[in-house]
Amino acid sequence: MIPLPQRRSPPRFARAAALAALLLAALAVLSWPSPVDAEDRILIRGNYYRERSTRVLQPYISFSKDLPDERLTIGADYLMDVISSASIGAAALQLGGDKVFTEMRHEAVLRVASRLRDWSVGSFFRYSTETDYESRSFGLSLARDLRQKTITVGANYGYTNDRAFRILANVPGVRIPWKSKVPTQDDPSDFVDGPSNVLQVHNASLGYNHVLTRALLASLQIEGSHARGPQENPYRRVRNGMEEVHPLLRRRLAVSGSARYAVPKARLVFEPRYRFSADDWGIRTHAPQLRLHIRVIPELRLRARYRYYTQNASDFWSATGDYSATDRYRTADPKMGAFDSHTAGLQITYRFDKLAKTPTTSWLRGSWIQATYDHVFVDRDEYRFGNARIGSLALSVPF
Amino acid sequence: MLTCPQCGSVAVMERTVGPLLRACVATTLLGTTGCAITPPSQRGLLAQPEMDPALEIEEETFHSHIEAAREAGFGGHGAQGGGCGCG
Repeated sequence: MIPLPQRRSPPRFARAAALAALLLAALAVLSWPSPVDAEDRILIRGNYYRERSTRVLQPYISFSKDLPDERLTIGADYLMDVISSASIGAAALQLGGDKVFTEMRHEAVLRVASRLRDWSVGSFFRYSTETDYESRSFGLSLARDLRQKTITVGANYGYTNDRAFRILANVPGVRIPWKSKVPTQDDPSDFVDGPSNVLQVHNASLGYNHVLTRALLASLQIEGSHARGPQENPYRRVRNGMEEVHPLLRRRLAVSGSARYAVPKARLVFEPRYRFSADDWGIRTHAPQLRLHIRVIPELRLRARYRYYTQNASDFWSATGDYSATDRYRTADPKMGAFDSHTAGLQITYRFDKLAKTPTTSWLRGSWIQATYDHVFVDRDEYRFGNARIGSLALSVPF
Repeated sequence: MLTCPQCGSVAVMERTVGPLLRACVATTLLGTTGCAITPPSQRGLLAQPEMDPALEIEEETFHSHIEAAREAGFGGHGAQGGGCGCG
């Protein structure tokens, strides 16, 4: 037996130096001049999603706490996805029959943020786990206010390390790492396992917000993503029974912009949005959207939205669904094909400020409740996910 | 440089994305140099909740997750992360 190497404890002075540096950093943050008071808040949401063969219920809770103010803010989120799916088509063969199965995904996020005069910094760590997928992410953000806080420029970076698995014969806990497939050099019809079941994703973005007038706010964002690793569904097969094979590398770029324009006398806010994205799988997407916010009474707000989405097919999409043994890439993923969709939605938000005027209900001051419903219409039968219903109910309470 | 892995079409990606990037840079430069500063006393409208994008972060995250499962596009919701095998 090979003896395990002994873990060497770090020198005592190194630990003391690290502790001193941490204390100094905390003191530096807390000795900064105090900004205006911010509030601590807890948010509870219940999200609902339903499409042709899948239903997701998602309870979600989030809290944030200032220590003692916005110079240092900590937060934590927890959510659970309860996913009920009908295993249809080829996936049913893989999972042991055509039936409804339910799985759960748990996600936890820890956040730290600090605002020091015109600078904001933030960081998060996210862990997500389900029966056949694990994900760990962390991110950093930095933003700076300029020109008397009428301009904010910011940069974000995020890294995600995902591990994909494949469940065998629909037995919980029995799973193997899913490594995707790559063709051998000599024979293009001979596929072997890819190098790893790890998907590594680097995301970076630059953002710019500008108060253009007393009633107009505009923002621009550029985002890039670099993903390397298995990116297909391990269970899904193309029409003639072969496994899906997607490229191991995907690079994406998105440019988005939005504006918010307030019409004071009409108590209206117009919010147009547009996003373009492109990737090196040959997909281009456009997503214009219009949101209209209406303040009916001071406590009650309505929001209506319409979003149009269109994309072309990826370079390796087959309209017939058939592939030959020598095709380097194969897919049965509906979102790799061309389609358009229309989303219409309504949101209602009520603030409890009027109810919070008695001593027994004063804790409701600043609280709000919100209900949202969106319906996605897809007018293409080949798009197997079909239409979707999306709803949520949220309650936010300061403490 | 963005290259299509199948056909090596560098030109197609750059032809599509290049003008958009240039437009963004131009708009940013115009924005930082060409507008008058709105004084704090005139920012009452901007303080309304419907003018504050930060209040929609949780909803944007939820929408981003759904769109990632249904669509091949990405972005437009702020910083993202996390994983899900539901696609």
